[in-house]
Amino acid sequence: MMFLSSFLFSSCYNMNLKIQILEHVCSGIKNIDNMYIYSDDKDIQTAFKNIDKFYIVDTVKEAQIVILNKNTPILKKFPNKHIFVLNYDLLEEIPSSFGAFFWKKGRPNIVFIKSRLNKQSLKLSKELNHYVEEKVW
Amino acid sequence: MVKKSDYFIILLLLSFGIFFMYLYFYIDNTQEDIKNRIINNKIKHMSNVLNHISTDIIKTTKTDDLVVFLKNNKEVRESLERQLTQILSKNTKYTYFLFLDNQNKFRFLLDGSINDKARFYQKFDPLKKDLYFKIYKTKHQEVILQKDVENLLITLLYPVQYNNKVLGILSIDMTTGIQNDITNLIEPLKNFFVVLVIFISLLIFLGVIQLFKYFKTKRQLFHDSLTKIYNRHYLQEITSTIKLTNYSVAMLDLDRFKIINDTYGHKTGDIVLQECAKIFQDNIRKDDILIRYGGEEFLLLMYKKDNEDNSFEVCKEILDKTSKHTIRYDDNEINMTLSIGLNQDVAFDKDFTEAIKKADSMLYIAKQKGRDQIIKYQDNMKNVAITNKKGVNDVKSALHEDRIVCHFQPIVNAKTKDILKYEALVRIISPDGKIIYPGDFLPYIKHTNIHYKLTKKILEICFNMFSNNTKHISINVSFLDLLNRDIVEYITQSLQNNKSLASRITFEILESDEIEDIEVFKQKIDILHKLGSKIAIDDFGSGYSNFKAVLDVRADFLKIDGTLIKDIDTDEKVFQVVKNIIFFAKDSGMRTIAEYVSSKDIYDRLMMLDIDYMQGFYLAKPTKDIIEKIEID
Repeated sequence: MMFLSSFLFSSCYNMNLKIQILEHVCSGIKNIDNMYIYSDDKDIQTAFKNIDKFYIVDTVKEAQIVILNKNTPILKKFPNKHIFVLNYDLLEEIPSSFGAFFWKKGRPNIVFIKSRLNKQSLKLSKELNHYVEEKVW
Repeated sequence: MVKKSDYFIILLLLSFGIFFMYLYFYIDNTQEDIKNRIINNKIKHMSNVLNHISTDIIKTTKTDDLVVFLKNNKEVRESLERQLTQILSKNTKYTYFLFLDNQNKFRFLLDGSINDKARFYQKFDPLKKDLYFKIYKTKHQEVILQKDVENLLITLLYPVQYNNKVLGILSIDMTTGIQNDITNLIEPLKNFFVVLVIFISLLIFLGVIQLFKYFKTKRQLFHDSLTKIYNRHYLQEITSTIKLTNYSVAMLDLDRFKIINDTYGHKTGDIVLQECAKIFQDNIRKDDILIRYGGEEFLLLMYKKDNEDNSFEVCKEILDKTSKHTIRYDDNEINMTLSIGLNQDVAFDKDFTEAIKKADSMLYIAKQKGRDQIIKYQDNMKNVAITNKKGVNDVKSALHEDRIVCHFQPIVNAKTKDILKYEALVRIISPDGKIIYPGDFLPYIKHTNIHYKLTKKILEICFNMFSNNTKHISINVSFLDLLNRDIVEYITQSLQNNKSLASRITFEILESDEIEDIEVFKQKIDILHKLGSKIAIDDFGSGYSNFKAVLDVRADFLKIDGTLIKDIDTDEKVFQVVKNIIFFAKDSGMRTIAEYVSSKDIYDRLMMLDIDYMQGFYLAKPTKDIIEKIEID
């Protein structure tokens, strides 16, 4: 519960907040050693390049985690990629996506789908467990 | 001296400054206050609306298991959401109904929002969750001031209760639009006040500058630039505000100051004035007032604290300190002395002018008695003639403003009709250009320091004018003038190196009862004779005439009194007196002069008496310029 609140006091800008939350989300995935990340969000690409523990890659193929703003057909070629979306509706559109970060009525919200985490053998840190949902409503 | 009104102006400006500063900051407070009032009204209104919706939810569902009911009754859900939608406005962005599940997660059961609408039972991570939980305990509405959510100002949380149990929370998010509306509403007013405050600040700033200039000008106006002490303007300023009887008045005059100027130059004279003024200033008390009255003359007003008059002690201290002090300038060592006229008994004086006049008379006596001393008014009351203050002031001003002039009347040889010499007759030119004759001012300055200053001025005018020609001049000096060392020194210094001028000068001395000590009189006349000048006894035959004294001083001319001459043609006794005087003069080796020759009859009568010289309107009037020749009918 305090996880999201702590970010609010560290920055006033939504963009920075989004980056910080995503950094924690990615860091909170326990069983991925080398964090190769692809994102269609330029802000994320730029920001994550400056973080040592993440490697920003240019293609979905190279990536372990894919962070998406919108759906893309290329995902069908790589069904085993771990997909994290930036819109709640994309959780439904992309059945393989394991979680989402989005703004709901101006507040930052995080959702992880339990069945998808299990299917992809992804384990979260304790502080993220509160955001795990049974399904997409 | 700063007046109360000056303090008032400063205080007024400061008050304005503080008032407008307060007003400026008060606008911000007012804006905040208006905003809070509007928001509180809005919250109150929204609370009522949410209360109605809450009642509708309960009435419609009639169950405490809202999740199941609403999940299964889509139409009811949509109907209630429409109610929530109706609340939306420009400043009310989101309306929704939250449910707390058993995992302490909040979930949307209803969402009336048009934008960013949530799904049924979707999880919601609100900020400041503790306030949400608090509602379940208190069962009262909560207001959250949103500082971290973009564009949101306030969230109103309202509990929906059934059977005294909170089933969920109705929530309304209000945008910052309200705040912007209020700011936009107040902004012109605030701008107006900002402009007003700037304008007033500018006025205050200019006011302060003006006030500073005013004080600076006032200081310059009331202070002597050389000695830095007060000047005469200051005396005029304070005479109306201070009580005369609280003060003793003293006139201080540096002895032989002119010699300092003449010997060492004016720059040294200025240094002497500065140092002496500092000695005076250092030795007066806090409440005493020292004024440079003019030239080397100072006025000191000494305050009688608790009616105790220590003015003599103060004067004595100043006198001693001045005489003991050595002024060093340009390798010269100068020791000054001081004469002081003190008037302690001002209670009988009508005003300051009269009190100063008395002190001035005492100063005159101090000078006569040999300088370097204090003369108190009480000790010398009998010696002081009652004089006209206006007369004194007129002569002082004329001296100060260089309005003293001399007119010259020829003294004519009765036989040849040639001009022997010219008598210098003093005149004052009034500020409006009129000529003031001696009868209007000389009687009033007798026994004052001004008298010998005037004599000195006349001597200066005549010496300067007749140095440049070969004509003869007759100048009036009184016995008292000859007792004044400054005047005698001035005559000696001016004539001893100019024998030609000295030989052409006749000093006309009034023969009067003031000549108490004939030996002193003879000594003074000897000085003039030794310089090569001639002596005329003026107004002989008036009052009592001391024939022996006239003989003793070996006068060159005997000038017969005009009051005798004017009646010579009508009064046989007068004729005989004049005849005898002429006889006496001729027998004693003196030449005779008849003045007031105003008509042909007088002229003819005098011619019968074998008079040597004549002077009067019949022959020639006094003129500003020297007359070269006269015509007699």
